[in-house]
Amino acid sequence: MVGRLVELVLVAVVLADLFVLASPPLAACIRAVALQGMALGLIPLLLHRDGWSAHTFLIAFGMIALKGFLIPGMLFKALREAPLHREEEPLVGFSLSLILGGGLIALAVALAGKLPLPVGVKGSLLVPAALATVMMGCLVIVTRVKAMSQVLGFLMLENGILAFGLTLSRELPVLVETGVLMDVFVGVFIMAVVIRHIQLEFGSMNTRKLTALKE
Amino acid sequence: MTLFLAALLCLAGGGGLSLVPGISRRTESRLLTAFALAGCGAGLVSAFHALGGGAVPSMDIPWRIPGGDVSLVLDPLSSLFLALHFTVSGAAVLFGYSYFKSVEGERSLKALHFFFSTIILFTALTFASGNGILFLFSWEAMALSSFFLVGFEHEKKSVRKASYLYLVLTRVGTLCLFAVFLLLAQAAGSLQFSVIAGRPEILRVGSAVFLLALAGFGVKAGFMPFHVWLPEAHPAAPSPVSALLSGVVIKTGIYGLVRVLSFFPERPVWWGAMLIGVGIVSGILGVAWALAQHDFKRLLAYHSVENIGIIALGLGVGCLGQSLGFPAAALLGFAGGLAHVVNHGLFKSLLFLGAGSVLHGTGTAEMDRQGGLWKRMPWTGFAVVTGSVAICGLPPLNGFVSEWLVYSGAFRLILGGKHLAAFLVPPALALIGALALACFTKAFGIQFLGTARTTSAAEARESGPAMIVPMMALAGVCAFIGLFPTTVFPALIRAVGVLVPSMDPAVLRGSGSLLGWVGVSAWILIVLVVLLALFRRMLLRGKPVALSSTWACGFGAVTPRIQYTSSSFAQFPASLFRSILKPVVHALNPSGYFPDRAGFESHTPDAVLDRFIAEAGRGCRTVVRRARHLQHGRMQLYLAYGLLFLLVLLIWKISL
Repeated sequence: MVGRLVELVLVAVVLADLFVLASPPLAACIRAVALQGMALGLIPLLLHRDGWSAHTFLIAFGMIALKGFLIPGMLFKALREAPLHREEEPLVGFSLSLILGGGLIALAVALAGKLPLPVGVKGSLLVPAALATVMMGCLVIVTRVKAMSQVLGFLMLENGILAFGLTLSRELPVLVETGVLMDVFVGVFIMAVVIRHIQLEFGSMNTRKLTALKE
Repeated sequence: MTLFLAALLCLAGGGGLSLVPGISRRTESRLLTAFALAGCGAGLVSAFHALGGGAVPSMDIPWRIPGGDVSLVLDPLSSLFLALHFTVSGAAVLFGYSYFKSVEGERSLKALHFFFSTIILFTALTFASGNGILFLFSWEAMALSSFFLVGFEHEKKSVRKASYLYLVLTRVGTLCLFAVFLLLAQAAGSLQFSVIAGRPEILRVGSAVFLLALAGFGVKAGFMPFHVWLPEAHPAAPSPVSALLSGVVIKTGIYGLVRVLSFFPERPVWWGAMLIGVGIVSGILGVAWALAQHDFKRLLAYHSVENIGIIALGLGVGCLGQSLGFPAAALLGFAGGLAHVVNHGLFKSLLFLGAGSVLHGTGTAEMDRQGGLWKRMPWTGFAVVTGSVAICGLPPLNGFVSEWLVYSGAFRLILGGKHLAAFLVPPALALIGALALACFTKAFGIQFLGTARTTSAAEARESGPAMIVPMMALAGVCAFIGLFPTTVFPALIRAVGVLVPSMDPAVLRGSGSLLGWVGVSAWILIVLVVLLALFRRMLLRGKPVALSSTWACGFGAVTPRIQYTSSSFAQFPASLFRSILKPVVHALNPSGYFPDRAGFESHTPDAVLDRFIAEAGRGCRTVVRRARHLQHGRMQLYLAYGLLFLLVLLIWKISL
């Protein structure tokens, strides 16, 4: 029963990845990543249903609050100051990205089968989903030209790493968790500032224009 | 060991002080000088202690870097180099105290003070480190410090060019050194020198290690094809810095080479032959280029190449002797090489300080603008003449002692008659010595004798005592080694013992007593000269002595321009090497019975740098330009390169 629920949540996580790959409006993408973060926040609760503790709740709610509300809120604020709200002319088209995403999921499943993992997580969807999220996050970073899309890719990457961490130890040490959360928070914070500055300086948040900085 | 650590702390303290804001320039340089002198003093005591034959002090602290270990060992070999290092550094620091006072304006000396401290500190650490990672770390720190010191007067374009050239070459050298230590570590299973030394397994990678070390350390030491940075960087750097660079920093290359050689329990014959070959080429060509120079510091830089060649000859004789089974020749060759390291460090820094004093007094290092300085700057003149006699390898000074050791090692090999390379050593050494003598007759004669060619030379002022004292101290050490060679010989043999641990120094008993005679003959020479001077005075007593102008071929209107110039003086010996040196000559010959205009100008650029390296660089650039389109400035694709690489790595690792 527990396994089923977790797997459902994981399917939602991967679907969110695919959604980001396939849709041009940035606002929808931010929402998808926020949902993905919240879904991941649920996983500790679902995994340790036999012994919920205050600590588990704290982590879950912390993650949901940060990834589901705080970071998306900041991104929305940054988006509001930008004139364009759609991802335009990505380096790889939307449908092709979707196909690539499918390929990456297959690769993730194949790799996860061969990774030397603890017996408990061997069969579950957790590892392939985590790997797929990491790889699709990277794909977004590489193929999109808007700085905002890159922040989203970065967030997906972090979500994937977090999901992977959940598989490896039943209870992540609190230090590692806070470390990861802090990383994401600071990263997004900096990127939000950077986006704003790129916007102000170049009148665009197209990272392709950064080529002008080359000697 | 405690003293050595205290010395390092003092140096670090001096460097740290220069980072404190708000100290006036004067206080700062006073404090730095005090700290550095204290550090050098403490270091010198610890080095002498270890050279005296006591137990080898060592220290080991674990370090977090993989394969690294803060391991310091003051064995006799390290101590020999450290003793030289601290002596020269102390003299250079003291000299620099008043030399840099004259740096124009209120220019900040903080960078200079800081890097002066770090270069002394990290050079000492390089000599003392007993671990490959620590060695490379301090090696790099030393190279960077010297880069910043060479670039001190960075507002001049030539200085920027010189320091850039130095930086590039030292990087190339370090690349080779990484390979050296990786190969050694792979074969021996550790980067600790104590573990690597004497392992038979490392012979498997021996040839590769030797060639890479010869190139990597050769860049720093200045072996002939790699010497190109020396004649650029030495004149560009301020004089105390050049003294340190030429006296000690290039010796770190020799130290590294000797240290790597000492790891090998036995060495192939061709190593020794190759060292001798490198030595002959560097020695003869170095002095040939020196002959053609007009700038005193550039000339001295080429002489460093020459003397590094002599050191390589000594080491080559030692290696050859050991491989062919002539223990006495091996000990003498190595001892000669190491003694020349010390001696060259002493007299070359003395000469560079002398050059600095001349530059300070007249404002130029161009020899053809000096003349008659002996009368205006007697102390500097004395220092330069002492250094010149020493560098030419003449008795009664120290250069003779080390060259004598190399000669006698080579003769022992020749008496054994086993290898052709040994037969080339004495003629090469003799040729080098003769050319060096010609070169320094020119360098000293043009600058200090005759009459002043320019007003700046005529109004030259002798430097202050803070500059004279270090020069006199170095001259004193040169004379001491020349006059009492037997006192330093045991320490030298102890240092050689690191290279040839299995050999019995008793085979040298004959040579040791012969060395005593070298000292005695030096004394006899001095006594003879004094007697001749007394004899002359006796003959002249009671007779009138008057000053008059020199015989001028019946031509009355003698001007200071009618004197030998640096190029005319060296014209004959330099012309022998014309096909290699490729001097650039612009001559406007006088013609007709009443010629009106005539002129002559020549300069000798470095053929290796201008022809070979520049061409090679152009070739590289055309190849590399093709790879340029990989660098297009698109961040996304850069990321993609990295990610693809990681993905391939992951798949490859898993599928294995």
